[in-house]
Amino acid sequence: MESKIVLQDIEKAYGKDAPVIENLNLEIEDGSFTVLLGPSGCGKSTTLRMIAGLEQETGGVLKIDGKDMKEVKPGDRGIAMVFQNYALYPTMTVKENIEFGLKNCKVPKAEREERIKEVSMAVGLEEYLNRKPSALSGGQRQRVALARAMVKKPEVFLMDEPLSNLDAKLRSQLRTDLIELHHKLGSTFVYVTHDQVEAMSMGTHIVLMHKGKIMQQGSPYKIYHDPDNVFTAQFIGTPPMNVLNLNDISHEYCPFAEAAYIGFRPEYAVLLDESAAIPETGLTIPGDIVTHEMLGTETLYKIDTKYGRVQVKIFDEATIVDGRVKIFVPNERLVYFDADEQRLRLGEDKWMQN
Amino acid sequence: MDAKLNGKNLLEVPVSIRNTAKTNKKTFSMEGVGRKAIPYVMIAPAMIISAVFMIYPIIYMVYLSFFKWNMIGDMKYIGLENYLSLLTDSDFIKVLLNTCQFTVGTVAGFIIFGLLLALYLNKNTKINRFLQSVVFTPYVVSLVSIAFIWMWIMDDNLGLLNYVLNFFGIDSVKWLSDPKIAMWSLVLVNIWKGTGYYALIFLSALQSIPSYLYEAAELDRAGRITTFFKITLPMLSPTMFFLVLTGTIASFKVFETINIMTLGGPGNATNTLVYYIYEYGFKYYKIGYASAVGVVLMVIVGLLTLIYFGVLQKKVHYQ
Repeated sequence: MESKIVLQDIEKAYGKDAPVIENLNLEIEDGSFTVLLGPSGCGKSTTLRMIAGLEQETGGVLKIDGKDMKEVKPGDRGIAMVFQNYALYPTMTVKENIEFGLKNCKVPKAEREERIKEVSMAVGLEEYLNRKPSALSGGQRQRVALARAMVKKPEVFLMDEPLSNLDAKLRSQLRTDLIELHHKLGSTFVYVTHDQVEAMSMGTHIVLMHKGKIMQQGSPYKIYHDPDNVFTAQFIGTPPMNVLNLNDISHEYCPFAEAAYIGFRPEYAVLLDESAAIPETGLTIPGDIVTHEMLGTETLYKIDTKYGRVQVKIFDEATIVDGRVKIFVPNERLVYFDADEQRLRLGEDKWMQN
Repeated sequence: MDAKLNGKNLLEVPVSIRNTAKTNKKTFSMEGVGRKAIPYVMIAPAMIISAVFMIYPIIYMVYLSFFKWNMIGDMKYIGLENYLSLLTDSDFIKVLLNTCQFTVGTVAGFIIFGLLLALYLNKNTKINRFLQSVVFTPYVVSLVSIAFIWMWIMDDNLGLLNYVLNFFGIDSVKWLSDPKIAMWSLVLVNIWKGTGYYALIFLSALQSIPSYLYEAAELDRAGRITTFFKITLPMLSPTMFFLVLTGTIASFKVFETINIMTLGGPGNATNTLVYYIYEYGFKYYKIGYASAVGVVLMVIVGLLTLIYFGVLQKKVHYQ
């Protein structure tokens, strides 16, 4: 059974207010780990809840496996959802929590026991089956929530920021667990987060949203290295891409007449002595180093230039530069955006060569 | 207990003063005594009021229950005789059963109608917000006024209830003068008065159940009835427990409705513990006997309270 999710011209409005989502078109491939990424209020959670059927779209068509979901109840969509705050039933034990959906589906007792045993083994909860959720830690609770979703053997897993209530260490562990789980089950995962690290590390397909619109979608690699617009360039990457207003800068190599912004990733810049010769053609801007942060394998410099503050990541941790420097970025590492902050491209697939 | 704790904290705050107190250990320090006394002085007004109006009367009531006294003549110590005559007094047994009947009826009514009303009012619409204040109004009105109004409504010949019944060709009901019906009529009046309060408490409990639980249940394919019995009702259980107990305690102490509407009659049909105490104490002037009933009432209410706090401590605290 396929479980491709298709959203066509989806619109969502609350009451008489202007719609929060308009003309949303999205295809979520069967078996993909699709991440809906964006800042808070961008409509990613709303989109997920519409797929789940917890919110009704006010326009457009939503299909799962080719079937229109308009009249289909959340329980009948072949999906399971993991909530940010776990949404465990506090009055039930762990086992009852996992069993509740199966009971409602009238699964016979023997099979229920079998399936509960199987999932609780998979997420490491066998010892806690008779506990109440209040007696569990955050990580354990989220495992129960995961088990409750898995036990239903859904075609699609929907996850709404499931890791954001956990501490950093647990988060990275559960991230690995989720990737493994996705490999093992082969089902479609739709995952909502505002954390680009989560998106980049887990997603096979990232959908970056902003103010109810899709800004860009693609593989983590493409999203990072080939941004379609300034928003994507600055949302993805820590630190984000440096984007400077091109009008102030004398840059004779710019290939586009209509270019308004120039951008480069912090790791592609080189710091040179003020007096050093420029090695090849590219962008050169002078600046003063404000701070440097030793981050282990790399050092992050914050440099004030007359065009604004620029961040540069240098992987040579031995020499710390200070004072006045020249920032140099080779031509092939520069990207250009027009006045509408949209990307300007020379030819197709230029990013592939980089 | 609290006073001691406060005293300790107060002593611990000014470290510098404490040190000087230590060095002057041998000389008697007025300052130290003053500081120790402060917390007791602070709670003294509250303690004096509760001592005069609560603790002393309770002790005096227990004391009186061992005597025979008509409030004028000499007090005569008779030991446990008041209690023994209670046990053999069929009137007292009847009154005790009446009180239980009233309590069970009232509390069941409060819970059932309160919950149903709350479920109905749970949708947050303009009309519902208006209705919330409407159902709460009887609770605010004085019980005395309500009792008088219902007395008129339930009047055998001129009452509104019988008028409506007659209008539909149904025979009149002797709401307050039929011994089999009178108690239920009082239960009805009390339910009518109190349900709004119960509905309001249930309503706030309903609204504090997080919506994501219902969403999770929806995804788990739970129907409306399953959702109610597996999610809503268990989540309401702490509230329900609180309401059942406070309702029971309050119902055991019912007095005004009976004093105004039936005076315990017809016969002894609507006589309850507190009214019985009032009758014996202030009509028949059998203070010792009335005090013994008072002790019984205190023990019942005390036990209920103990159960409440006992269970409350063991109660599962959800998340």
